[in-house]
Amino acid sequence: MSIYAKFVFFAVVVLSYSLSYVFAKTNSIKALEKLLIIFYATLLLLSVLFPEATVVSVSQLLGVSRYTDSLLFLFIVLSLSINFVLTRKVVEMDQRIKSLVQHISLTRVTERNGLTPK
Amino acid sequence: MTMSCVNEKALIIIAAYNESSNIESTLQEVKDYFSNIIVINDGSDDNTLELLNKLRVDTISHCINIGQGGSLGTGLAFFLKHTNLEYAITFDADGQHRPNQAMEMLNFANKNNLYAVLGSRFLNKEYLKSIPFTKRQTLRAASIYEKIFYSINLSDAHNGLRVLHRKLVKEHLVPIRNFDMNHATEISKKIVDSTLPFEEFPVDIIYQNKDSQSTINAVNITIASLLKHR
Repeated sequence: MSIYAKFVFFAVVVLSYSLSYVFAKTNSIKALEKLLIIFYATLLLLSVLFPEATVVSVSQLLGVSRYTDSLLFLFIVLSLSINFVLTRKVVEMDQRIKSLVQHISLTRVTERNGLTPK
Repeated sequence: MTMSCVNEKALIIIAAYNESSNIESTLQEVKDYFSNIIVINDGSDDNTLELLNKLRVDTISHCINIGQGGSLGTGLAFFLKHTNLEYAITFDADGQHRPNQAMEMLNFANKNNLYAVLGSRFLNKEYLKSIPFTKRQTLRAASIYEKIFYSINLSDAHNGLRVLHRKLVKEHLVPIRNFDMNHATEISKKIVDSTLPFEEFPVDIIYQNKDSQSTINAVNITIASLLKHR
């Protein structure tokens, strides 16, 4: 693995983490997830239809000398990206559920105790 | 069940999670000084809720456990929406705090026109002796961490005893976004950033026979503060 390839790998991992963080506050996280899937699915399809051209060009793009290394590279990047997105999604869901619990509990106390809002 | 107004200034907010062994004694002690008390039962698995109902104390109950920060958030939202009281006091359910010191802090806030008074274990050498060594070092490290990463210059990073003015709560603290133990950093940061006058106040913590937070939990708090939204 060349220094260029290591740099690309590091940049891709940081980028995917940053994107998951940035998009977490919006619904764009779903779009990001779909984009990732579409990107990797397209890559897989191309590698089946045009194995030589795809694998060679992808390997060159990533700076990886052996074709098999590029597959491992992509597999690791894919796994990490999906992990980041899912983790961020879980955190967001967790926040929403907890906010809901707060809201429900406050509504209930008003009903039960008959405390009048000011 | 409605709140009486013997003490017209403050609402005590107690977040309780599985505190059946401590909550009764804690409430008895607090009732000697404060009449306005709200307990947030944070989805306890034990019989904390039954005890609270038996003790006839005003209670808000979360259907699931959401964390101490979430409980305080609920308590502060209740304070703003359903009371006209001037101060909210956050108080731990495990009986580690002394209600008389909460009262002293409230008087101190009133006398000096402060918007927040934060309890600190590190301002009195006598009180320092009661803190276990590992906990003391962890708290000191946490203070340094907060100073570096959040510009919070406080001697005690995670003290649960706080007196908070309505204006501060309304304009700066609510909503509390960190539902877990990291809420302490968020509250401190918001108080510091508010530029409203505040002071620290020497308090001691009763560690004997109390289920205190594990020191190793500092790792969780640190990682959470690095990864979550600020």
